[in-house]
Amino acid sequence: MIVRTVNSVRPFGYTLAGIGAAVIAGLAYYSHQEHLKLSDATFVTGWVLLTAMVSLALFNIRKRLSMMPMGRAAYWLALHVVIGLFAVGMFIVHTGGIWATGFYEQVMAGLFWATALSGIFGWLYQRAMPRRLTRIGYEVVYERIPAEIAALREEAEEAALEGVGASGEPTLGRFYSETMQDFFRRPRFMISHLLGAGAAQQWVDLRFRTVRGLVGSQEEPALARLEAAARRKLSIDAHYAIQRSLKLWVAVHVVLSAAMLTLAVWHLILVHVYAR
Amino acid sequence: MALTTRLARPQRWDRPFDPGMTAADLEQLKLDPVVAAIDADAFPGTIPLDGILANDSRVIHYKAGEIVVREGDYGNSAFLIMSGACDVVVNPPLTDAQLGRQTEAPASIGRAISQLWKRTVVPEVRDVSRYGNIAVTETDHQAVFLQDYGVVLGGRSLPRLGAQQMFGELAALGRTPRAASVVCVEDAEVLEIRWQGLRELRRFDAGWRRQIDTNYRANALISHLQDTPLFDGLPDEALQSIADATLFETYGSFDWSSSFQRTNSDARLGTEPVIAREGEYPDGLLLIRAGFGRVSVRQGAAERTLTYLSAGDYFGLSELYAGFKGGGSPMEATLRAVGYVDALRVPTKVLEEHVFPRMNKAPDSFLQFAARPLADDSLQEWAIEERFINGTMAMLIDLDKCVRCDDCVRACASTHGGNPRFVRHGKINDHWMVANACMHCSDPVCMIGCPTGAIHRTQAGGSVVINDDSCIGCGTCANSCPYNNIRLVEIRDLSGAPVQDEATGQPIRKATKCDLCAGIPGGPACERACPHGALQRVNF
Repeated sequence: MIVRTVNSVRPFGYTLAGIGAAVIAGLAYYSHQEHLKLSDATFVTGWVLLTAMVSLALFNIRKRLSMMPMGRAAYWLALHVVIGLFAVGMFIVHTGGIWATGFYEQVMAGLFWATALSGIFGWLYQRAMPRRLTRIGYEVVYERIPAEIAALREEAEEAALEGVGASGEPTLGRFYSETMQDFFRRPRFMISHLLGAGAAQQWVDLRFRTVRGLVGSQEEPALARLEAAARRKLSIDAHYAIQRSLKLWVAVHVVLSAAMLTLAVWHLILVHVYAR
Repeated sequence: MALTTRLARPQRWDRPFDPGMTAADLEQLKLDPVVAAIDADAFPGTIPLDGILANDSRVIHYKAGEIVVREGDYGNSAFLIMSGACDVVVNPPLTDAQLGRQTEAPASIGRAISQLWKRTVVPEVRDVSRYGNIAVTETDHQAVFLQDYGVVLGGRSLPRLGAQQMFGELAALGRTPRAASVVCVEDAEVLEIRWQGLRELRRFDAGWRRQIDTNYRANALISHLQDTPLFDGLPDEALQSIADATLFETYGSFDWSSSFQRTNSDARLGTEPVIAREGEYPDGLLLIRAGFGRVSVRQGAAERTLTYLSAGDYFGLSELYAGFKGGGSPMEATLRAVGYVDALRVPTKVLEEHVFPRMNKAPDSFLQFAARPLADDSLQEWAIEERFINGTMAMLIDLDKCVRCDDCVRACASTHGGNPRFVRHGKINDHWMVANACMHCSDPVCMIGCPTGAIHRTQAGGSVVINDDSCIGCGTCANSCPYNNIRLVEIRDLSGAPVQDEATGQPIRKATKCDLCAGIPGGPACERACPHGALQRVNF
């Protein structure tokens, strides 16, 4: 029925990965040969590594210049992932292991691995989390979440007041002020939602099961309204937790990359200065 | 800095089609026999005939060899020849080179780069000094000549249109591409009427209404039949005999969007008019000319949708063919109008005489679709219920891939001066979301009520765009859009001050929507910006 689909970027990614692996193998061999000749290949491998790291940073710039015809971001991401993996290989070739000697270099190596691992984690995380968000069964734009929570809080307060008004009994008012008010005040159960555990759901189920036994028929419609608001709040909280983590991950990855790139440029300057 | 800018609120006839038309010109125009025959008293006081003629029409003098309309272009106006003559060039059509077809203003890198400094912190900034001072460019008359028209058209037997004959009204009213090119073969004086005016003329004058309906049979039917693969290779006489016997039928409401918005999706099938019913005997072949039809079969106590039909599709062929081969065969499925359907009914007798003897195998039956698992119907059922089948560039998001990063929204904003032209929110089925972005519908009902023609199809490509200069912010298009994909925004001037109506102090609004990043190379920025390939612009 849908007659137009975007081409998959997989063949592009696999091709790039093949090229990247071949380049790493070539440079590793070259580095080994230079080592046997008691020569130093680290200048070459260092420059290749820095070029790869700068290329990785270009992805962020492409995002900011999305009005420009710079190709599909999906291809850029494939390129970013492959070059990122290539950079890991190049780092090992460049340092001759996974760590470095010297304090400055160790800080740099730490940042490099933190960036690389955060990138790998993020790539996997970004593939897993969208399904979790979809399964919530409710969509909300991240920036709209505070307004949605405020609207739910208002709805919940009205429901509690309706229950009190309809029956003359304070049960629902007390339940709201003692237990639910804080629940509706802000996003709750972040860790549980992130891990996909059922703690939040269980918490709500238990509270409403308990109160249901304390309300009369006149208060039931209000209780149902309050419960519906609480269940919607669970969905919004889950969105908040997951969407926030996705945004937080990007921020961490970008900050780590910027710090590593800064140190790498300084490292390059020092190396060239002292090489003379 | 001024706190606000005040403007006279834009009105329907602020921008006459021909700003140079004088009262004397109008009087002269009313002497034309076709115009003189219009009953001015039949028009309401708010939309007088004089107002329509003065504001929605213009007289153009064409030279011999000049092209009036080009086949394939989307047009927003009809033409009445006042003097002179024109030829209708249908088959074979003129080439693009002969038609002098110009592509739209080419997408430009410069325009893309300029977005870097055109972005403003304040939303919806406009240069208000432009309003009221510039022409409506998409309807400007630019002469295009058919070179050596005498040689090109010589020897061809072409339908000729003379004084007091009309053309172009079907494309203008039906929001379809021009079916033929029209070339003046002698100097001609032609009255061009933009479709808003034509709509009123058809509505309030019985003579025009009759003439437009008659013209369809005379002008467009043969060309429609020629475009139908079923009739490929038929001799002209056979085609003419089919055309003579063909009946016109319309089901549902042309302005279907209002009832669609009022009806719950679960109840929609029940409200769709039945065109042909399962189990009954077919009464001719149904050709869909415009709109959409739903093909369904009984499934238990309900109806199961097998597929849908759109312009160019036909219904009932396999049953009629089976009948031709060996006795009666009842309809295998039911056909309903989804919204509205313009259909042509070709009687069985002419098919048996001209078409079936040439067929050497039985046509496919719709029942082939019934073989798929029931549960696999979900996406199609949803697309029909929600009328997404109307979309040619719907924004479809795979929520299982979308990380909700909003790069698409930012990309859209960055190509539109900082103002996103869609909302990443919409109806969801399973993991598919159709976001609230203009779908550039095959039947753009948003165009029906626009009083100024600001919302129109581009001539090349046919995407639906809004001319900000002629939009008066009435909101008709936004209300008509069944998908809520058009937004009205309050505009600001270049200093950031809100723009208000000088008479009432109310804000001046403009309709905005996705324009598929017209003028920006590389296609829609939203699709390009999605790093996960989750967002696609699709034709349902």
